[in-house]
Amino acid sequence: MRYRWIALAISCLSAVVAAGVLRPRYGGTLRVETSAGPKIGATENPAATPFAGQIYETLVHCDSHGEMKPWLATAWTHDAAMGKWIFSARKNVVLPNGTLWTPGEDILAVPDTKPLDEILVEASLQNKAVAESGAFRISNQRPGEFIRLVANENYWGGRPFLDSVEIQMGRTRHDQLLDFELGKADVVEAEITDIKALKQPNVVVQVSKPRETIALIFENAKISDPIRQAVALSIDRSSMQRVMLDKQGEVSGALLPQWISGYAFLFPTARDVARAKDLAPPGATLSLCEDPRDRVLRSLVDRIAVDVSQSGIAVRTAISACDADLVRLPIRSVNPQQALLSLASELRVSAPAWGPPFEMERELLHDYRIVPLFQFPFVYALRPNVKNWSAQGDLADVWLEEN
Amino acid sequence: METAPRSTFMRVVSCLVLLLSGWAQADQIEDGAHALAAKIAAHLAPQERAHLVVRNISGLPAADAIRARSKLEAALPRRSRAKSVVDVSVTFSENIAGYLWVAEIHKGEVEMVAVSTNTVSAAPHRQLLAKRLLWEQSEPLLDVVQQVDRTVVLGNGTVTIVHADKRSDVVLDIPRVRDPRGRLEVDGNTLTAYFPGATCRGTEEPLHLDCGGSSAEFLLNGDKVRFTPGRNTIAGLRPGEETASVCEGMKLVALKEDLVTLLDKNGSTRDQIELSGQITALWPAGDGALAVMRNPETEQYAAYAISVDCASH
Repeated sequence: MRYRWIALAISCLSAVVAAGVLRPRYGGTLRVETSAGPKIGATENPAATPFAGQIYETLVHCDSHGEMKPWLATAWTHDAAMGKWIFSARKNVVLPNGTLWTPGEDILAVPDTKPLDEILVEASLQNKAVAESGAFRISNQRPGEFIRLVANENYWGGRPFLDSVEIQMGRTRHDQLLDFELGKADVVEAEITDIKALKQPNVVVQVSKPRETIALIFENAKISDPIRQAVALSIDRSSMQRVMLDKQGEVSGALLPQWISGYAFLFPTARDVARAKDLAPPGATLSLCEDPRDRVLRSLVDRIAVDVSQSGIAVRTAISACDADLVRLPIRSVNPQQALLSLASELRVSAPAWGPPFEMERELLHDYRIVPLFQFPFVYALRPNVKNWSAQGDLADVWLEEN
Repeated sequence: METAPRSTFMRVVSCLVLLLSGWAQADQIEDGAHALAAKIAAHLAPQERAHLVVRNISGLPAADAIRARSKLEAALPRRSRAKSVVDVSVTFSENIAGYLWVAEIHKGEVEMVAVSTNTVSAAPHRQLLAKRLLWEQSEPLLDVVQQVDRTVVLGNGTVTIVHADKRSDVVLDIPRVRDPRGRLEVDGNTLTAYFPGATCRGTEEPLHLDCGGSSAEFLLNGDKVRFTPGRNTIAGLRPGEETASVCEGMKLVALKEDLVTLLDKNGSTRDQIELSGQITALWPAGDGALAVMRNPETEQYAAYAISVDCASH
């Protein structure tokens, strides 16, 4: 009888506790750390971090299927007489100074000199943001280090669940994990090689689909085409992924991951040292940059140096002033064309001519100035009370469960 | 609010949807095969024929992949007297938007066609608590009232009325709320839609509602309640207290995000029924409840009538 009452009490208690999972809760401050760059909050380049979209908004928005949807513009019509696309501005969009957003014709009328698809994709790029009208507002910042965002109570899409978000920037993943262990952060980035070690009680490990391309970027124009191609052919991606990345991530010769583009397998990844030796001129040299703050990239650079030297190219590693750099390129959109244009913008290379995604990507990669090697997922360590966290950095739907 | 038995109309519509979806999928495979064959053929000289090497790296079912291959082969020009053979590697791939069929023509050309993905939902399994699909849509779904001859659907700022032969929609001017909530009451020709921070009243025929900027009271399990303006909560109720009272003292609750549970007077679980997604609303409806869920994979919202056999409990 006594046990029956205990069982009943547990049953009732579990009902009350578990029933709370049904609805997101409003309130609380989320503490996030990121290795992302210092330019959040800098209006001249709001595209610089994944959180900028929470503050600055565009006319149209790419949804989770890669389709362009109305955002600050609610509709668009073609005015054949004027030769323009006319965007309709959303009403009730409140700016930080309390006034309503009333954009002029320079924003809402776009000449129809391009296909509509191209106009929409361009309008959705974060560096084309037209208003500081997002779900969050900047309340405090130390450029390059810290930013505090507060909920926009009047957000047209509904007030976000969180009251505020505190973001520490430019933190190495090692430092982020230390802060997480010390209870100073609720969400931190982790390395793909740390996934197994992170799986412990009170840590939720969230691994996205591949969203980050690891690529070798040739900054120095004096490195000739044949040397760049020889370098690309020298790298043993499969071996590196197996041994150094603990079989995490995906080997790739493409900028966009297969799940987004569907054609990544068309870009070759095979190593061909014999051909690389044929291409590399005698006495060729190459300096590779390594970032002392990025443990995984640093180890990959060391291995690339070994692989490339086997093709007869003398390689040295350095901290700065190098011929090539191994970088992480976040894929900021699941729309292939938008993602490629964003990458071109961030890499400061000429945007590819508008066309089918495969042709655009082939144009970006044709001269081997960009040599993709791997696709990494985003890996996050979260406290268990953090709900709805997404790799896209959409903070407005994140909420904190009551402890 | 009362839920009527499934009408003949709904049955016919369901059957038609199933038949059409199968037909549409078959058509898409055939269309895709023809489109890709045409693109491949454009790269072949008159005396050349294609030799296909096909692989499937997508979620396309094996049977469909075989069918697609045979349709593709049949659609390519048959040149039995061709002097040369061109190897063509065909990959049934997929991307964020759907299937992507890629042909690498071993003359240095690549062609692609996009083929839309057709998702087939799993058949519902029967449990003690019965569920019946009332409505499905891709936009947020807040509440559904099914009458004998019509279904009234409340979306996030929309009301839709579906009769056997016509459909009417009206857009409501209400404040946006993240995780939107809404409750619909139908009384004869009168419609009332309750939202956080707004209440809309009007008529079904003609379909018209006027909205005011406050949360009015509505009945929930016999108690008067109202939505909290600008929030996803009901004033004075904790999330766990949003239940549907059934069978004199029992209640239906969402204990887990995809599970409707029948609790008896003592709070013990008497029965459970699983939905294929996250429950976003659970409202009392007649002798049971109306459960709205969102399938995270298909991103479709669906409303189910949950009925309880009170006599058996």
